[in-house]
Amino acid sequence: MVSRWIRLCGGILTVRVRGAELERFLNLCTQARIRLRRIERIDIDELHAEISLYDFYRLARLKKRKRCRVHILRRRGLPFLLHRMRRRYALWGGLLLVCLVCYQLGTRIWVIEAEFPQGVDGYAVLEELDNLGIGIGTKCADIDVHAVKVHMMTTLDDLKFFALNVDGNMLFIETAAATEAPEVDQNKGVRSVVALRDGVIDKMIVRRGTAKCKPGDAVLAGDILVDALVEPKDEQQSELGTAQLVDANADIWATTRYAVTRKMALEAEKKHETGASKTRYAICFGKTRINLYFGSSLIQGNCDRIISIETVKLNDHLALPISLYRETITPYTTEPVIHEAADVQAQLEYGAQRAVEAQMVEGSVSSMQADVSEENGAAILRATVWCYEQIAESVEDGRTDADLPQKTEQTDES
Amino acid sequence: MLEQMVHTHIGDPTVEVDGNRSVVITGRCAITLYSETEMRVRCGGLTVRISGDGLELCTLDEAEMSIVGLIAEVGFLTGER
Repeated sequence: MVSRWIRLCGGILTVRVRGAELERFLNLCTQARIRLRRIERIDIDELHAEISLYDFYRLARLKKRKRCRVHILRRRGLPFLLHRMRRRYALWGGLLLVCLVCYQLGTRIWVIEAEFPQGVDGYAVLEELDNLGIGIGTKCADIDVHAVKVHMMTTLDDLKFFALNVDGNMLFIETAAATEAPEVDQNKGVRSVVALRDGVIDKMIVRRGTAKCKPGDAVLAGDILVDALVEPKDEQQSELGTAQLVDANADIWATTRYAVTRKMALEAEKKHETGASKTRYAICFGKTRINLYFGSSLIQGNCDRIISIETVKLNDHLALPISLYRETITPYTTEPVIHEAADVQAQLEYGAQRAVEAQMVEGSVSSMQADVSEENGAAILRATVWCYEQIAESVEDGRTDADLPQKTEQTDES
Repeated sequence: MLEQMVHTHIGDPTVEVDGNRSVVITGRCAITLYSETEMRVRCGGLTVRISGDGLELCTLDEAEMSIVGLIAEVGFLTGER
């Protein structure tokens, strides 16, 4: 099949050969490396065959030797098509115009894909790019990636990293936010570690300071867990130095307990689809939208509206400035329904768990014991949640060097 | 492999028969008779005779010849020039 298409590109002729010695004609063609296909013996002195245009010109040179007459019955393929249409100037002009338009479209940016992590002002980045003249429709060749990167890094303070990649006619923007210096480095002074909330200690990792409790101890919120005052441990240290105040640092993991109450109204509204969904289409050329439907884009009444946008792409790197908008509109009405308390228990438990997780600095929920009751048309969940979490909190210690115990100097009296 | 090489004669054609629908002859050949019911192809000192109905030369070039149609018989005629 593919080989036939290739042969059609070069042009195929169906010829009729007449002569007394057709076998000799075929053998001469073979010797001259003229390739014949679909040879069909029509009569004792006639055969039909397919031959390529190139071989046909070579066959013309053999005419005197073969003692046969060759007539063209049919012409097929690209060269004959082009020859037939050679006087259709408007067609050639249009084709040329299409090629030029495609070339021009392929040299411009039509899709911008950006990822802005937390801490990066995406709007500011895009606005700054717009000030530099980079946006939809900008010529790819006009973008100096290095210059843009330098400009963005010097202009926007919240950027730690900025990269601009032009791939085909798609522009990819990658950024990273400048992070502040670690908190430990900023804390200059004396700090102790206290308990953030009540709990039973499971594990302690003390990096600096003196531990005031041990695993298994029950602590209350605000209790000092690691003291900033470090005293010499043995006589040798005692001789070398004195007690000192440090910036205490530790991770304290403990089992904690939360009491959570959550409430949810039992009366709710339920959606009911009224009628069939309707799909509407629109085409977007660049920034111009053309609706392929009559009437306004606004919708009357309650409805769900799902919009999907598909950009026309030639491949992964080349996109055209044409997008197809597809809107699926499903009208609905609402009607009040009364739920049972047991029906909403799972939803309330999930909410309670999320609420507890939001209060934790680091850790997870271990178990939950919940009870649901119905009061005044609402479901009330009373839950006890056990967690395993980090309860260490670093706080300022009011002490100074003046508060340190004084070392008594011993003098030898002889 | 050695046995096959011993039995292969230089200049002899290779004839491939695909059911009763197609015959492919590989080698330098010349057509001596061509009709819808019978074809004779000379390859060196050997003449291959193909008889059947609706025979047609599908491809013909220097190195290969393929014949399609309803093939009834493929034979070899020796000594015929």
